[in-house]
Amino acid sequence: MRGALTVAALGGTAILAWASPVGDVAWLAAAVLLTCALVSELRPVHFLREGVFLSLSLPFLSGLLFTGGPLVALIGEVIVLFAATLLRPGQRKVYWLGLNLPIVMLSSAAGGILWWALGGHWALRMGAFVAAYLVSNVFLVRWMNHLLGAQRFGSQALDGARSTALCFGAYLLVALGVGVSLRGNALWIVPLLIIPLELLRWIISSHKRMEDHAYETMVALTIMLQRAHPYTHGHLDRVGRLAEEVGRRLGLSPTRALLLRKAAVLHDIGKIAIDEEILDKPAKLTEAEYEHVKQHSEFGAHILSQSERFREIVPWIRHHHERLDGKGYPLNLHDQDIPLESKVIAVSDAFDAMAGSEVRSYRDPMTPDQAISELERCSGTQFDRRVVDAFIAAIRGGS
Amino acid sequence: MSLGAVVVLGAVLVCSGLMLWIALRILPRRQADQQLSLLKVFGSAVELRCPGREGLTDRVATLCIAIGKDMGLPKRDLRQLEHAARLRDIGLCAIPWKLINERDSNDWTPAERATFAKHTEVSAAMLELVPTLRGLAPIIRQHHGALNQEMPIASRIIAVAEAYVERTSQQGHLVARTYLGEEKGCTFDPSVVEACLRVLPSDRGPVR
Repeated sequence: MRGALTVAALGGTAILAWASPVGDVAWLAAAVLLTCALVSELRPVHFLREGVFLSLSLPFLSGLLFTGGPLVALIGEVIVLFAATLLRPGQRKVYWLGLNLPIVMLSSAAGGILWWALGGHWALRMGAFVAAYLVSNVFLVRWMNHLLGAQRFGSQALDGARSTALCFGAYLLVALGVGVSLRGNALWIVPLLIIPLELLRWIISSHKRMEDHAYETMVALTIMLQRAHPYTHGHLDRVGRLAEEVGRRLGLSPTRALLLRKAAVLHDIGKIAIDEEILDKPAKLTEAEYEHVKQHSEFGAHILSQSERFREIVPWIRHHHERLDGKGYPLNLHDQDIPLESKVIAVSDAFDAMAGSEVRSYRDPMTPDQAISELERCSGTQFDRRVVDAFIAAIRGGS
Repeated sequence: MSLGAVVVLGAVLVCSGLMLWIALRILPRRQADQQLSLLKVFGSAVELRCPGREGLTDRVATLCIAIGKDMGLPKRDLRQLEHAARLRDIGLCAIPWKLINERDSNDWTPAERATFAKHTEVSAAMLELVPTLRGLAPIIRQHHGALNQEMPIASRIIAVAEAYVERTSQQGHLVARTYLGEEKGCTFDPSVVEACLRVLPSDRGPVR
């Protein structure tokens, strides 16, 4: 796959070189732009959990379009990538370059070809360049991460439509500013445009800090739950992954599916306040003990409702033990009143409790097939048939 | 320069102003709100497990901040102090439920007391697993320890505030004040006790 990417990158570059060879280069402007781009490149926002850097150098690099055409912009990209990789602390520089060089070349080639092919006002073509570059870059990075098996879980700082729009708007505006100053022979304005980019970086990184903090709160909560009631680590994580996959199959947006995953990881958080001896009891529970255990979904909702951050998932957690036929708890809701997300959590949780790899003291684990037929038997009364179908598809398709 | 150029550069300028305003005014406030509300999540989890402690976390945190302000701690340290005060008890989740909920703490055997006393260490160990909260672990680990040179100021403040609030809820604030006076210099840092006694009248209302 990496080979295919490299070939595509070289091909794109060749097409661009054929279509729009380098003309006269304005060296001074190019040097200023490259310096500015390098400065921005060296101050990226790290998204450690996704293993992604966000660097804000593109507006300056797109300015290179005016100093000698799209091929110069592509070469500038490559130079900046090399320089930044050498100057940045960190290991595995060759690996990093091998990963990013084709991505950068392909993205600039895509933007450059669009710039060359489009007619009309320069601002329009520049916008097209920036858009094509960003879209192909984001797509390729995602794809690469997917191929490398990197987990994408947690931060949504880059996923929300609003923040993407904000980023793109600011990028485009600064790029236009660069274009205007270059065309108006006001080269001194270009370095000043680092200021708005730096502000954007500030906003994104403090946004990211908030996301990180929320994520780590979630982690700390699950650690607390595991101390109170030692699940094997895997259960919460597996339920989370299953729920996300089922959510996607049921047509939830990726952002919402990710939220569902978080909710599924936290769904039993109320068990912090339940007597662990009863939860682990091998025998059948007495009436009073069962009443005590049943409180956990309400407790979980109460705990999470303290923070605005969890507002959306609170009802999902409160109702994850409701049943379609109204015999569930805490509110005996019926089918149409139960949130879809709660139904997904219920099915994933039940499946993993039946077929999970941990050995619970009170019964032998089932095989996945036995667990699936048990889910099918209970669908319509306990579980939603649509959710069960999606779940079975996810299990069969996933493994 | 043409009109278009002026418009573009003007827009860049306006946008920068807008972003500066967001970065300086809106985000810090939202960040503080979110942090506080997330900390309350832990408080409510602990209080649900240990119903006897309802409201204690809030009161200890409030008193800690009042003492810290009185002692002139910088804002950054105050925030860390509040976080530590609110997270110090999360280790209670590892103490057997029956011990906390179905037994009077006066009847505990020495072994059970020792189990309970471990919760501070458990809190610290749990926080060490979480990168952004790792810095709080030493503060929490030491706040029940003996007074010594290395004890961080935040631990000293939490020790005093916790002792005062717990005694007050059991035996009333007069006993609690006397207790602080007696232990001043032995268990508690004298300057912290003095600051605590100075701020106490305002402890009834919200301090912040």
